[in-house]
Amino acid sequence: MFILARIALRVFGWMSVEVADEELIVRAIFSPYHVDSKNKLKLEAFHPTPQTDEISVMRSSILGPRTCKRMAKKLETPTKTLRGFAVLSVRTTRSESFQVIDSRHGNFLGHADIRTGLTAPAKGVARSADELLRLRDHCRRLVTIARYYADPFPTKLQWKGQKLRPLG
Amino acid sequence: MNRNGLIYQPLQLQSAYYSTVLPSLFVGDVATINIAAVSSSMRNESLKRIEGFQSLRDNWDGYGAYAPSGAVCNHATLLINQLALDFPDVPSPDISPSSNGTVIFSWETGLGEAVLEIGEANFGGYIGKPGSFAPLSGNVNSLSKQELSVIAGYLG
Repeated sequence: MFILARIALRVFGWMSVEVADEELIVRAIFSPYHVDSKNKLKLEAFHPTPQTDEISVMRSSILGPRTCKRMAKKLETPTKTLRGFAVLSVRTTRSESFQVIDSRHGNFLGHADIRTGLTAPAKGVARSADELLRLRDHCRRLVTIARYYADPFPTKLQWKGQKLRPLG
Repeated sequence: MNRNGLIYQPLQLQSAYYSTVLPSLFVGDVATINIAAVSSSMRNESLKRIEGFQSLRDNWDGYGAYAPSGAVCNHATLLINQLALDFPDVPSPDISPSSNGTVIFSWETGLGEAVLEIGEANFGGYIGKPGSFAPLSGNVNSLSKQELSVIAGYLG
């Protein structure tokens, strides 16, 4: 379905700014604190970037899992390794009242954000009860609709795991 | 009522209680607290986890998250000690760093959840179950036995 989009990206370096409902997006999971002992996603895996309402993801339908992994590996440090990907359907994410928007500027082509409408507070500031309830509700909904793929070969540069599919 | 079926019903807390109950737990040194009689397994497991947070650096999640500061970790440590000391039957919370440099304690039961977010200067949280929602908030130095007893009561 996204063959033409992938060709356009490879040949012309072009990608539509519009994120289609049919696309899949992935969130790279780095922190051991974002998966539990049973290798399931925790709510914190979908905490927004500080002082924003944005949860960074990649447009995997167009980038493909190899590029997603390559981009994710660039974010690694000696103390922070890629653990896997949380895969979401854009349509399902939007059906939960979240926005999914392209956010290549300042990032990279293929970067997108899930926007929740609830801005994270400044550094070290605890949320109000209502904000905390909303945050956890958002995260719980995202965890519910996401499928987590632990990376079976985290040190390899290419994705060698299963084909990335959404839930359902 | 929100989508979880929780009704927003403020909990009445007596602020006069805050500065009088166990204030030393929040201004003194961790090492000075008598923890001889506390629930050691819960405490040790939780403290080990918080100790791990202290080695985090900014951007620990790959998305620009702030690392919890020493002050936040100290407050979280003190909270664990206070829970273990006064409420040894309370089950271990799930403790996680948040992207904004705070630490979140949560207890989930079949009926709902209790959540506490510890910041550098303030705390926020709630106890939510069907039919009731009790918000918690205030200065982290005044987080008292009163709030914790509400949580313990819910978990009990």
